[in-house]
Amino acid sequence: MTTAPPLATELRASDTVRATPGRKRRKKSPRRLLNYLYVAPAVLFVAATTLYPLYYNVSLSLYDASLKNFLQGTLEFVGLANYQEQLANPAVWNGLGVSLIYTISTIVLMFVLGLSLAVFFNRSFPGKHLLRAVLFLPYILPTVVSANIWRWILDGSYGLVNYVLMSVGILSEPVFWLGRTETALLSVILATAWTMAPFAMLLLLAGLQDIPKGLYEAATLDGSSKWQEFRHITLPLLRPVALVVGLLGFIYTFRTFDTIFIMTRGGPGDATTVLPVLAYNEGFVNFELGQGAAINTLLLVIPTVLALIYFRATKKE
Amino acid sequence: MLFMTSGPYARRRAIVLSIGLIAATALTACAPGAQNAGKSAEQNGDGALTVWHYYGGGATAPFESLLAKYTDETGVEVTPRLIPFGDFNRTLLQSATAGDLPDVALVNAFDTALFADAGMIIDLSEQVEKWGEKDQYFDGSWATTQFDGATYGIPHVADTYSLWYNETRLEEANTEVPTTWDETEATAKALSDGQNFGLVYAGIEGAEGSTAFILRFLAAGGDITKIDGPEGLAAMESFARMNDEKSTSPGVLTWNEDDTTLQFQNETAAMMINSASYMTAVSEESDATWNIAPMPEDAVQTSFLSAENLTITKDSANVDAAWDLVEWMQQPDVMNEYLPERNKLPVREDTASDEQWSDAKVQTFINQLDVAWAPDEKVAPKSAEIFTAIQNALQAVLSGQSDPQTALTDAQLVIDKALG
Repeated sequence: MTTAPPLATELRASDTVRATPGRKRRKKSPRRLLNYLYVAPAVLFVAATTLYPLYYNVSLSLYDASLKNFLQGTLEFVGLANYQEQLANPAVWNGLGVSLIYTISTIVLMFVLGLSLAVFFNRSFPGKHLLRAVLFLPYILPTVVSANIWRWILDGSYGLVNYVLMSVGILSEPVFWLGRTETALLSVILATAWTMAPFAMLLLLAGLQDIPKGLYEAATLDGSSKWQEFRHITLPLLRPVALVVGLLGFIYTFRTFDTIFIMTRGGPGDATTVLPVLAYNEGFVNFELGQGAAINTLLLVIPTVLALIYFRATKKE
Repeated sequence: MLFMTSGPYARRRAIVLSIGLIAATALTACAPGAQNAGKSAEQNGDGALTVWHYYGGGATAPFESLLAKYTDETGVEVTPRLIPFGDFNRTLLQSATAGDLPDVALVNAFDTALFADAGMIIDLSEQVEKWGEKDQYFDGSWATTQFDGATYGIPHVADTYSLWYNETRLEEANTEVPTTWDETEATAKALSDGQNFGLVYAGIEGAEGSTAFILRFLAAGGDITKIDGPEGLAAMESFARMNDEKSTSPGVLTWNEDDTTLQFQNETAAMMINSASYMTAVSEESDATWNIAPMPEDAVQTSFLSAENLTITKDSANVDAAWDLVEWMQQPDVMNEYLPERNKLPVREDTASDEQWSDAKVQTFINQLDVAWAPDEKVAPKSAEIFTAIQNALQAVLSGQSDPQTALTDAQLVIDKALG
């Protein structure tokens, strides 16, 4: 059994420990203080843009905060009452269900599309770089643009999808994809997966290019088919990258608000009302700020757990 | 001097001082009132005004030209800021928190009570009393400015909903213009053929998509605080029937008022429920021969008020100058030049007496002002939540998620909770 050599950083760290056994806390030198000063702007930036809003949201969720008492500074502390109310709210459970269906379906579709594209681009052909750049467009387009494009494509009256399907005789009458319960969620899943697929492609392509070519050559000599190579070499060796794609995709998709808000605003009914849309409506339509903050905090739980798994996984890697 | 001091502690002092300065700067920036102080210094003394509005598209230029005209006449600089409708209230809330509201905010009439209750806009009763022109305003519009016995806004423009119809399509089908909701249903069915629809309306997610249903519900004699009664059921079943019989397009659930207008303009819809805002667009863009009829009646004849009010915010450092602007904008001459560009209706009787408002189509909309419904001050602060619940019920029924009674019962729960 072989043991992987320690990383250079680990060596340096362990050397330091060995070199200073049992010593007391080192006296702070001006050099160390200067180091703190160098990182101070970054720390302040993170504190101001990430930690403070997070703290503020959690804090607000513990108060009865309507527009009136929020602005007049007469917030009433209610402890966990907002959470109790939201956990008893069927709309929250529906939102959680819709969010999970939306997120998991999007990731599966994104992964299939991304992997197909990655395999396609993992070989040489004329115009490869140009085509790859074009296919990357959906990811760099502002969401407001891509969501509106999908809204038009799927429109029941003048949308491209209806035009094509009716032209080839698959549909006999127009379908209002975004106005029907059974198709609205599918439509936003498709639109989000289309946007995210280039991101998956990029990471998976990097993963594919890291797989030693010798493995494929050896498999070919052993008489394996392309499918067997894909099944027994490509997929197993892509697993670490696939895990990263899946986890980052989940965290990104679970918090998606803009695509859904632009395409369906959470409708029809509550068919596409994911938790972020519900939190927005509670906070900025109904102006129940404490309730909205409670939903936001609940919304944080699942991605936070997954983020911790991600950091653990990448640390091991 | 500290930084010039040499010796072993000089660098440390410099470092500690630097960290202290960074922290102090950051803390000062975060301190409540910091932005207010900056704003006051910037705004006090020069009399300049800031006006926030949500008039996008073709409405931006006329409104901002109106403000520019005020600057030309008075020399008072007015800086407008357009914030899209969907972001407007959120932006106001955020700015109110930071003490950074504009001098004048042009707000949705139904939100006036909400902002008054929250203390975001100021009581104008004293100014209105001295001014002495409140009796000129149509009752429905003026009522939206009232909260807790005081006046918190001045109506800017109004709009009502009517039934738009394609005369040619009705003649071809040999049908009369409907005057009741039963007739409207029958006419819509007669004018539909699977590709073209008899009646269209905006049913999009959110408050905007509730207007058509509310019109039908109010005509049945309903009270907005009690949606799950017989009037609500009659209205919901009527919309469900029109959907099932394909008298109306399933697309209504995804259409806002612009989309609805496009259908009528392109003659894929023979009738639509919409406001006067689209008169110029339809006149210019459509080849159809069209006309306007009052909203159909059932137990009563009613319409729906869509309006904006001019308000002065709590953060204005120039209340007198802001009031001067608001007062100037009420003059009939000024409004009669401005309103036609906006396709909006006058809010004052003296403005409405101008000859330009005698056109039959426009007059139909103006006459609806007398019966146009607006939420009272108890309902208004919660109107967005109530309208959204109603629209959710409509969508749930039309998309087959729920039956009418269940959807209305669910909506009633939301309304009861909202109204406490």
